[in-house]
Amino acid sequence: MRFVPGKRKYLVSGDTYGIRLLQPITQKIMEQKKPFERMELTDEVKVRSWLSQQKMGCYLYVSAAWPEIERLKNITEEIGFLSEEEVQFIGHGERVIQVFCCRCHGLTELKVTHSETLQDGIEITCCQCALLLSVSDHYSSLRNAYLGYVAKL
Amino acid sequence: MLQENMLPVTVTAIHKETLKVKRFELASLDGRPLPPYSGGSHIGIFIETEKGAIHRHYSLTGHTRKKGHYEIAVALNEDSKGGSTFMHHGVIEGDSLHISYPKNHFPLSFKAKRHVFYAAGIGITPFLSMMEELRGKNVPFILHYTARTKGTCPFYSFLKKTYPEQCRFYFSREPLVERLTTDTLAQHPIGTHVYFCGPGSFITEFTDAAAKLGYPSSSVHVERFTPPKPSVRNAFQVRLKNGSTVQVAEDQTLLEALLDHGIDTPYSCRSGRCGTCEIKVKKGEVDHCDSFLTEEEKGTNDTILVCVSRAKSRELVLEIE
Repeated sequence: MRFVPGKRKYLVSGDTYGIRLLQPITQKIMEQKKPFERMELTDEVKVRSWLSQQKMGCYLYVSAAWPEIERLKNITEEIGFLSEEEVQFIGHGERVIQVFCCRCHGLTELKVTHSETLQDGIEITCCQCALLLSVSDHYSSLRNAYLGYVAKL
Repeated sequence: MLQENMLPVTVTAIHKETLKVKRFELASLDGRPLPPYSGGSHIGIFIETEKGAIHRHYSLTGHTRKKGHYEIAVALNEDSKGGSTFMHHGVIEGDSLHISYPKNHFPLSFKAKRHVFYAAGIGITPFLSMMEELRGKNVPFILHYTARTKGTCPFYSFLKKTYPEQCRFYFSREPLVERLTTDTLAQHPIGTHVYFCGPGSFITEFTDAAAKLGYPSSSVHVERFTPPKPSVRNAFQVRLKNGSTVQVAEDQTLLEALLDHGIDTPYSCRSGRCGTCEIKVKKGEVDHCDSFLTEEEKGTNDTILVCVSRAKSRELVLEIE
């Protein structure tokens, strides 16, 4: 989670716990005396309408449980928050990611906890070809998966 | 050196768009259709002058899906260094020219929810093919177009007739007409991509205003006729991989200096847009003037586009023989 300065307005949204997680960001925005709006993600129609009214130059923070994040990413992109330069997602709780096997291209699910980013050195066995994979932080949006390299040659 | 493939073409028609803008229709010499292109593409024209060969870029203004011929529009520049004078006074219908294949350094964003074009004067040219492409795909767009007067506004009648709903005109020398300002940038809904083309000062004003509002840099696209001028135009020295040195004078580009010394340097656009001439930098501080590298890449000081960029330090050490 990082504060991105220089935006005309900030939008802070999330589930109840997510809004709490975003408190340091909200604090920073207030210190900078920048306009901001906050909305709890309870009613999808309301959230869509709120986000659709925004103008270019706004920056959006979204914090929710990891399983919700993918769905929220699709919604915000559909509305027009198109790049990482205008939206940041902060997941919380248990996260299930997919790991792409560099050999057989199979996808293996992996549970990740406590961290938004992958810790170094996680090794898993590919569920399709049984190759031992070292999980990298290279994410493919096409596969919705992190690349797994050969762990031992 | 990278040898550019050329297409021989004939000038089939010349139209006077305004007093200072001519539109040229080009077709292949052998009657075969010219290659297709995407919205925002341009071609290079190779012109032989008394002072040597020059290379000028012009946006393709025609219909991207009407295969077969190209159209370009050229404004006669009062400070012409040869290109626009040659096109206006040295070219007649039936002449042959050598052009490059189409290239696109100003493509439409495929992610944008809507597109807004800002053009000043002859800066309209790349937007003509872009608008046509968007209309074909039914994607929403708006054009904000400023010129001195209706009479000096290239493609005014065409635009008014073809895109009556999408065009907003602003004439700075006509009374009681709204002026184009950067204020409209604040009104664009989230998901908009903006495109600026016109004189350097126009692009700088709009780019700065967009950045001040907080626009992501990836949502802002510009096409400059000439690359931005370096902050300081000092002479400097480059040291090559083999230890030899090349002096770059104040009035020449690094690319020109390398070529003059017989060093094979790949290049193409000569305006800091295509990245062909990117070379690794081992030491020294680069004064980046290109519009190809991202801000992050420029910050690392790892590479230089030798066609436009220079040195802030007295010496640069380059990874080139």
